[in-house]
Amino acid sequence: MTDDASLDPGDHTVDELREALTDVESPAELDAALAAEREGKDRKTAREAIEKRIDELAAEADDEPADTASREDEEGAPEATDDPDRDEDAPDERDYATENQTKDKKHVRALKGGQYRDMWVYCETQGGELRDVSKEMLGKARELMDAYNADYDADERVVGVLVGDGSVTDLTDDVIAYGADVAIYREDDRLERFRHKPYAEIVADMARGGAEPPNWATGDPGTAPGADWREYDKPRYFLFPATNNGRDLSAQVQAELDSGLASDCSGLFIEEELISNPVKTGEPGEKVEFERVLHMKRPDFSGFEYSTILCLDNPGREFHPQGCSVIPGSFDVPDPDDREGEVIEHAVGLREEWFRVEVTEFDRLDSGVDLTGHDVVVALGRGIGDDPTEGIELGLDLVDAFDDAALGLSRGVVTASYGVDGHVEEYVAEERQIGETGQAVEPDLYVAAGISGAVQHKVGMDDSDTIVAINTDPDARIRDFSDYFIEGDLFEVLPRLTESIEAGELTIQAEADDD
Amino acid sequence: MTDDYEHYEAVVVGAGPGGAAAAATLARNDVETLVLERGVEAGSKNVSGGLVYAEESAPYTLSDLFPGFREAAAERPVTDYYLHNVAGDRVKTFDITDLHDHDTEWSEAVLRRTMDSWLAERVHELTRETGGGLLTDVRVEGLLREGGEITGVTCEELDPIRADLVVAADGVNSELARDAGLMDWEEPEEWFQGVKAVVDVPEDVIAERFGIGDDEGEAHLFSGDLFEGVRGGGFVYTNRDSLSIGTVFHLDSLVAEDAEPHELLDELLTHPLLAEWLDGHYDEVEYSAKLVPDSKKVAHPAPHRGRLLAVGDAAGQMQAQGPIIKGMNHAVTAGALAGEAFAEAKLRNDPASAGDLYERKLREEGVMAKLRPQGYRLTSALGERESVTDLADAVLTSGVGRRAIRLLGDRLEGLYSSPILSQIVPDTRTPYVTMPTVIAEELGERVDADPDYEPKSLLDRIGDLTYDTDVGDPHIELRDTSAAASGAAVAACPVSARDFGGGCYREETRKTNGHEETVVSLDTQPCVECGTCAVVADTEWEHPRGGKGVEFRQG
Repeated sequence: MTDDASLDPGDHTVDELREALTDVESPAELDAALAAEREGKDRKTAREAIEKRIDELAAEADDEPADTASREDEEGAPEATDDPDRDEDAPDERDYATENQTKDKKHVRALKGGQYRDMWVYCETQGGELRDVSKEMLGKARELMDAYNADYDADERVVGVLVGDGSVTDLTDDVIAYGADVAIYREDDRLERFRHKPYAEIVADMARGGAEPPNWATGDPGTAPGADWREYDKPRYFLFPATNNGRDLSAQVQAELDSGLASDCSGLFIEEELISNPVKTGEPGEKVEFERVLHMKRPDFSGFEYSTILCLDNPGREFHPQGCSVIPGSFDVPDPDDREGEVIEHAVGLREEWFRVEVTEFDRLDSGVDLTGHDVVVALGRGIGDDPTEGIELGLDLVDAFDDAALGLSRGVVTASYGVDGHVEEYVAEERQIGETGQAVEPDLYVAAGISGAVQHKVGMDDSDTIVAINTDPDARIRDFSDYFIEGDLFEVLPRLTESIEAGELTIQAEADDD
Repeated sequence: MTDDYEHYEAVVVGAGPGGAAAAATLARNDVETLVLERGVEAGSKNVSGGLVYAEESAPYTLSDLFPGFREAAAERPVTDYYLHNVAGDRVKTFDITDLHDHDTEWSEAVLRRTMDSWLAERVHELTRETGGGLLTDVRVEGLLREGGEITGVTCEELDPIRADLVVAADGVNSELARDAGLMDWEEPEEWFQGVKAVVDVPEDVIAERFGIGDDEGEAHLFSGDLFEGVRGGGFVYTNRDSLSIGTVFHLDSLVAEDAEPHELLDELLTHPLLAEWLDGHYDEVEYSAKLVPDSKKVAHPAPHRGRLLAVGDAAGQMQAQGPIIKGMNHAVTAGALAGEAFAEAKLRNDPASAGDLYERKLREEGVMAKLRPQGYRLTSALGERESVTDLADAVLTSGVGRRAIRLLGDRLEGLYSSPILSQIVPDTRTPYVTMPTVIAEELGERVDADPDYEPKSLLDRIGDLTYDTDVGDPHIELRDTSAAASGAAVAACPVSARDFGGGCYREETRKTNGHEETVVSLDTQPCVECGTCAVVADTEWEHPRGGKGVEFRQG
């Protein structure tokens, strides 16, 4: 378009026109375009846009710093004429337009006519693993960008972002396997735990491709992105997890990138949108179609109604990345795929001052007793009711007789008011409960002592390899899904089982065997 | 930040028939109305015996408010109504269809999940147009008070919401009515407890065994010695392709007899009449239970407090008088009257007068007279004293009484069909147990059929219900675990039983230092949210939070 001397403003919306105008370097062409607009649609906003570009070109031809300073004066921004570096820092072709600076927002780093590509996903980790929500977002991003590339005949990527200690380097393959084309990471021992400042600085720097943002206080116009694996200013889209840390990070990063944030979203799609709001279209009374708009659905009223949030450019100011935080569980965890991808180490320097806030202590919330992963689980039910203390002791004895066993309980025991003796009291805890509202286990051997076998219990242990039930009631439901059923009192049977295991041979003789 | 609370003209709590009627009436009068329902869908928390009436004398009926209701959301019209007097295997059946037809425009058997969810869709459409709507999964936990005045509701899931009108249609265990001091859970004699099994029976089998066509249906009531002397009765209603089979007992009698509700239901399920109807088709798909207020005693004469108006079960508006069992129709009328009262009060620019207007309408439209009949007060003053009951029973069972029953013969049927008589029968064992037993012994015919099935165990009944347990956040807390304070719940709770470890309430022996005591423990996972334990045990009782707890599929 740049060399084509016949820019016809009538072919464009005002918004498109503005973009097209930034490429026009010839004052003659602009004069022609202005005349064409007057002949044609004669839109005030369009005329102003062309006139503005004419002024800009004229200004470029003039003394650059003086012009900048005069504009700053208009905006009431502090003068910065004492900056010795200013004259040498010739701005590149990117237009960090000063008129975008507003009084209430002092850190505007808006681009105009910027290049935006790719969908970025911040991949939160926990305990050296990707969190599920990270996988969910990668899967969704993959799906969205596959459709995007097909719809727009484009070739944009999914970029997964990892920040953390050395362990994140092991996760780049996972990030690609779950849907990314590029995994970009920054690792440092100091990044082991999430801290707002360094994480936000790093992620924002990654997104800007290492570009130095303009500094309005000093008038420093900043630099162009230096990252060589990409050719754009900022991501087109950015997804963050709506977790505690993800929410914290997302707000700061999106602000650093001079865009907005739709928080706590649960639905995403990309599509055109007809917009009539004059703030966005610049043309009162006209509808303008915005392309490639990320629609971010957000539950209101705790999920009873939905709002769809759009992040749209203004005529004179662009808002990218279009970003949101995503509620965990909103999308399915995809199956990992054997995909090819690019791994990028982002080598931004870490400034000492970013680490002023120290993590002096942390505690992982007690996840309680893990009954999974044992060879044997000995589970006790309300059959211990005659003497709960002894029942638990006997269960523990059997647990000890095995190399790798754990003690589980039915819900009936956990919710009972047995008042067991102090030395076994700690074992009667919800964290040992097996079943629908407790843990699901599938050990090689499951010993169910005094458990009747309600459905709610069954779903927590039915996948065990071998189930042995001990119950005084031969009609107990558990018999239906046991491999071996011992009719008897657990107070007699458990000690004999323990004895047999310890002796290494079965000392119990079956009186009847009909299973 | 309190200024940021959302405000609606009206908030209706509960999307049962009472709430639906209130919301529809408000919306039709252009009142901005928000309906909050704690279930995952309207109807998922609702249980009823299963008959809904439209009374000729009522100012509003479901079909007035929701055209197409009968065709879309009901099971079968009730065209025949029978009362079975039972003594052992002897049964004397009275046809009391005339009583049933009295003042009845129509009557339908319903299943509440279907019915309430259908109503909720209409309500959502109507209220949407006013700027409101219906939200599920929201549990309203109490009243918002500002400066001592009720100004709205507080919810577990949302910020408090202000409203000019709050309609408490939150059912028999209404937390709002209790918060406002309109209702309590103190006296077992003010309540009935109903349990029900829905049994799938193919449509053609129902048609054949009951001898009914497509647009016909039957209701059967049972009384007599079927239930171990516990005061109450049973019912069987025909749905399209299932039967609603249930029992309803005075809660105080259940407690006094230490009876197990599920076993009493089993007594009915295995009665020879049922054995004939269910032969080869006993496929019980849902077990449920609910408390039923006895309007004679608890229907609140002035069910409002400030901006709060209570309707339906929340206001005790459940008429159970002998064979007349009407609840939902009164809730519908009351709901619509509450809506009408607010609309009028608003028109008069005095919305605060809605409560008084509602109270007056309940009285002038005849609702209160049905709920608290004059005659009952006379008989109960005399007739519920133990000595009078004993005397009546002694006469009935004596040779004199028996001869009188024989002489009366089929004229008894006419007496039973008297709407006046049924309103004033006292709540003693005489009409529930002694009289029907004597009638059956003297006049009944032997029915013999042995069931070819065993009633489902409580373990399976609980196991087959759908729960979304709020792990770690039980909605009921047992304040006193002593057997004296809370032991009655072990038997009376419909999902608990003595010597059954899989229920809500269990008895346990605790040994400390050679000293033994019986204590009660509670597991709320199997809870069907009926409210029985709130009355008979010492608990801190709340509903589970929105969407949690039991989810009825039939209702």
